[in-house]
Amino acid sequence: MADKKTKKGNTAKAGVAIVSAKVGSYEKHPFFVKKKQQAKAFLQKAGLPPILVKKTS
Amino acid sequence: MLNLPSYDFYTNRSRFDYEFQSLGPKGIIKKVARFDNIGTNIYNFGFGDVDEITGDISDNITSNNGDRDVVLATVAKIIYDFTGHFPEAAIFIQGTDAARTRLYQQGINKFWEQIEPVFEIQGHREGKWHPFERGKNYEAFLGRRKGGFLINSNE
Repeated sequence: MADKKTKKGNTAKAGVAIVSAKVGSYEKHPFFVKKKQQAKAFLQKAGLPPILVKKTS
Repeated sequence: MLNLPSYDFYTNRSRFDYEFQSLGPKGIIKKVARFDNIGTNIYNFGFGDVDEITGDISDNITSNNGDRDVVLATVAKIIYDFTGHFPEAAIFIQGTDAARTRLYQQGINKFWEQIEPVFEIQGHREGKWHPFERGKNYEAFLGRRKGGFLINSNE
């Protein structure tokens, strides 16, 4: 997975990911496909928070 | 943001997929996170443990690897990293079940002092979206960087 050994307790690079060709795409993994469908269904029912929406018409 | 102990985390060039390893009494557990586009500037955040033998991913198991806060801090940093590259993105988060959603909520509560200046977060409760407040339970969350673009809607 990683180019270097994962370390616990790292604080040196807060919020910075290490780009690695070893990280694959999970786009078509059934777990994430299902999560995506569930999220879409939830938002279709619940709508979006008005504060985040800009009406265009 | 979040100057807290965390794991190193890795991503690919798309920056939609992230991986890190949890280290604890139960050994090494591979964790994956992914941001899936579900609308204009809206991304679902999915997160789970990988079974390295079967390839299955699950978010309904409790790892009990003794590192919950380190994992939560790493997740927070992953979201920070993603939204740093996609500042217009709104992130939707919902656990597989109420317990998992509560775990995300505990993470938001725990790091709220550091999250609040950077993100605006809405929580869905009793059929409506509300600004996130500590101590209240929500069914789902939608957050974005403060000052981010508004989501266009023609409804």
